[in-house]
Amino acid sequence: MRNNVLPVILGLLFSTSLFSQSKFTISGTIKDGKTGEELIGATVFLKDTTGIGAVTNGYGFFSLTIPASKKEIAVRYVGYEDFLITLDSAKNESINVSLLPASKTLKDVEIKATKSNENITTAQVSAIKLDIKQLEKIPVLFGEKDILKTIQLLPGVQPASEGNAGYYVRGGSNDQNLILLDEATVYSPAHLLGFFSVFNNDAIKDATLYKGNMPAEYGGRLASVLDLKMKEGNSKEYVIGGGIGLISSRLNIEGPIVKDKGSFIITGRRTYADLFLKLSKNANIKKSILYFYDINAKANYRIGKRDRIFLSGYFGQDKFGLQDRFTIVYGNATATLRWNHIFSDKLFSNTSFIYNEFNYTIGINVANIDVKSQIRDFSLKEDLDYYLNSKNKLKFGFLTTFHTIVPGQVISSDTSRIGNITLTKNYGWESSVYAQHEISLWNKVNINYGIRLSVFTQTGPGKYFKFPDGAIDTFNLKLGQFGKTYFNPEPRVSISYNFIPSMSFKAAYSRNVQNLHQLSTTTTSAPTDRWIMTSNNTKPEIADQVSAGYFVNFDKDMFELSVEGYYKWMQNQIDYKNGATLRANEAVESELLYGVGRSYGAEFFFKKKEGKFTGWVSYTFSRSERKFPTVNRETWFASRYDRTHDLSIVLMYDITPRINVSATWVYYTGLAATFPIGKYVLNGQIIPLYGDRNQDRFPAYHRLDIGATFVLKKRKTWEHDLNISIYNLYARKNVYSIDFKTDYDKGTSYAEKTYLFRIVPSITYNFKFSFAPIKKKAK
Amino acid sequence: MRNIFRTIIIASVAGVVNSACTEKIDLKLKNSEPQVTIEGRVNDKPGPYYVAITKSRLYTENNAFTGIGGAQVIVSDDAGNVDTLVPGFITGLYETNFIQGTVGRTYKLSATVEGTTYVSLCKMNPPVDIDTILITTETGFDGKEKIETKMQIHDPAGVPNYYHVFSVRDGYHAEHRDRLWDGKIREFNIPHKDLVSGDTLEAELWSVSEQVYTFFDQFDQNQNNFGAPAAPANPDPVYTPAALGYFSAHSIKSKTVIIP
Repeated sequence: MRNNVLPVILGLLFSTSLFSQSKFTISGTIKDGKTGEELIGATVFLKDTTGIGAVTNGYGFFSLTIPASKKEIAVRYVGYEDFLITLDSAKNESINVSLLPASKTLKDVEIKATKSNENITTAQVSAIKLDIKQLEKIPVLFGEKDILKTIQLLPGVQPASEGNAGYYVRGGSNDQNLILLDEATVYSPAHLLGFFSVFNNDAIKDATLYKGNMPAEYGGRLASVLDLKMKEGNSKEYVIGGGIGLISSRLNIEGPIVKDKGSFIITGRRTYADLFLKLSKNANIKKSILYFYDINAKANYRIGKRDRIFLSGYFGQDKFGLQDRFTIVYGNATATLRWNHIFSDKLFSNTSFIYNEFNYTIGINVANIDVKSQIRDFSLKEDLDYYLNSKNKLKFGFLTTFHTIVPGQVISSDTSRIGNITLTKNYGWESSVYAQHEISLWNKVNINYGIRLSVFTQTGPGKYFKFPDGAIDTFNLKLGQFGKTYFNPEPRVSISYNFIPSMSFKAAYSRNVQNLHQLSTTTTSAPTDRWIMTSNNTKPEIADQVSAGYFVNFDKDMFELSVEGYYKWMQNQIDYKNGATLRANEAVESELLYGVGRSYGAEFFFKKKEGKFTGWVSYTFSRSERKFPTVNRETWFASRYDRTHDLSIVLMYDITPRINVSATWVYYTGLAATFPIGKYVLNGQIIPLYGDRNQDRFPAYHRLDIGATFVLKKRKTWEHDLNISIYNLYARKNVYSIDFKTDYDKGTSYAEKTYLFRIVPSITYNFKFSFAPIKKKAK
Repeated sequence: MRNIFRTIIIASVAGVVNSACTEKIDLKLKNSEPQVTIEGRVNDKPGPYYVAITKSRLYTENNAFTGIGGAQVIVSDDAGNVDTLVPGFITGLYETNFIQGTVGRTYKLSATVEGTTYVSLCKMNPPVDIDTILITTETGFDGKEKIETKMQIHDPAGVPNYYHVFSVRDGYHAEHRDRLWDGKIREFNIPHKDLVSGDTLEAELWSVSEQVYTFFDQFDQNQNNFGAPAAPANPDPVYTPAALGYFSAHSIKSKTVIIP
């Protein structure tokens, strides 16, 4: 049997190419005509034939092989006017198309083979491409537009807690989400105690979320991938924009380096919450520190027709201190150097060198010590897109990453009574190769299948631990010496079947493997939560997910409806023992429990995409359970990521071209929690007697937010607007945490909830100036 | 450190937005059958020593805990002393007759309650001196001045030590282990209710076993003022078969100061 598979695949690949004598290939780039930004996911297709088309890749590149008889080609991208090309002759050609943003007064150019139904035709399931522009309209806490909070309004994605940028996807933990910013891993995506994401909306061009069934080109996390691409910068004119908000201010500058050849963008943000602290009458609050800032910068330059270089980076830092007792400083830094090379009109290559790190320092002033911790990666990545013909596309490549974790280094000053302590650093080498094949058959079936082979090796130098029968034993690896190695094949396949062009059924299976694990002891993740690598004790986490869904668009793609179901099995899940000491503990693995997980659910999504009135309703029914030895007598229990019901309603309405209003309402089942089932007395103190883990629930969470944007002035060269929003309009006191307390005078015990926010209004002012580069003399 | 983030989040939101708040909440709690609780202590000071046996109550009931009488309670050591306890001055309290706690010996508590015999073993570790008690005035996060006290100790090098700091007036305690600072001079905060000038502070330093340290450490994680962890759980039982409570054989050093 096995030997028969390869010829079949090869047959599929070349069946159409055998007849390719009478075909030709056009390739090129699709751009925004105003800013020069490449458009990702734009479609290029034959005007009067269904089923022949191409989608631009992450760099706006496409390649389309068509019959010699066809000469009319259309280009389409949501929010832009369609563009028609009539080819002069049937020869291989490179074309660059600039699309103009759609003006609302103009009707769409009528094209028969409509292609704004990418959501239906693509084989990809469980993926959502976010509309960054629409995101600006959604009301949020403190008026800070935030991509991570917007994805929480989508089916299958749940907020970690009130106002938190952390999220859970399909019953997976926070650390099972991979967040890529220009291909660099962002380990800690939240600022300011979790309330804001580290991503400045002004710098983001494209965002796609894959909920477990990712194509083979992605790997490394079990639950999801959020692939964020930074803007390239306007290559035609200089633009200065910014905003002044309640919590922070932003400024961004972009423009051409050489017109139409290269551009740059720099965006920055800083909060001034600490200024509010200064207003406090309390001397200790006055002395406290609380701020963050972040900078995104990117530049690109075209060298000839076939090569382009990109350099992008992110740097952000948070600092807070309580009085003069202690301070915590933490932040991410990423840098990506990329080289695009077009080998031929069918073969596109990207090579990336990537560096990313996350670090934190806790300074405990009273003890005169600093505790430092860091995780950093160096990576080399190669991706090749091969557009075999209009029905077949191949993608293959590799990624190799060298990980370093500094788990905690105590640096003490001379006056401290604690000595310097350096926990052994951990090194790991993780590599993967992948290949995937997208094929379309009979104009009705699209298949994307592939495999990713991943290997992880525990690497020296370093001290590692063994725990034979509960004892602690160590062994050393020398520099360059390899310890335990794990190989894992990760097959991925997704299939769509189009009954009619606007309706499809899709199914998918994926295996994902994860070799970096975060040990979180609290409900929401804290920046100081410890990361560990796969080792001789900790095996790679593995998840197998099957998904199936029904997708339909109606009323000329005005409405989108989808129903998806999934089931996920997880192996080698990690939890900690009761009373575990995770911090400053080299042998932290002795404190861990390993178990299994399962999650399943149904997701419903209904969206109105166009018109004055837009928005969506998203509902998810789901379960997420874990099983560990010694917890609840090794029975399944609801995990912290379990939310039975999760409903989000998002409505946006353009009253006039200058005024739009919006509202969101969210509802979800309360967090699974452990409450007392009794109490006992020890030395006169009343002690809660706890029941089985997570057998109880917090009260349900719900909240209504509203917002409005007023465009004050919109001219060709400058515009400004005012955004007003109210968070938690009906001031529900949603539970943030619950404590169990005893009133010794009354002789009674009671539960007490803490809530963070009642009603929070905010106002933000945004502006944008643009001016052309100084022109040379007119020709 | 575990829940310091939660505290900071709440404190910051309270400070900046002036909105974070607490209030009582009614929850539907599941109910447990009453469970036996045994609290026994032996130390290196002269006896008698006491063992208290009670039963757990429902969380929503009042705190009128009553002791269990009629139990057979025996404390013995590895030097061959066996002492059967007699009922104390209230029901559920039992006291030793003659046994004397001695450093280095291993003690066994055996309690037969309603037909079941619960057993726990504990070795008494050597005491560590309190060198001095330090008294300072510090400003709390709420802006009020508070009297804080610390005890300074010199940790014996080369052996693992487990400490239970205890303030006698309030019954407050704190746990420490020397894993990260073996052989160093340390200052431990002494937990207590607010002190005013003229108060007497009697602080004790217990040298406890690893098992007792773990019991109180797990217990503190559920009880501390920073709020419960993500998944609070009962401390691991120290009795076989499982019963609530602990049995500790420990040595004690104490110091008393009057707040100036």
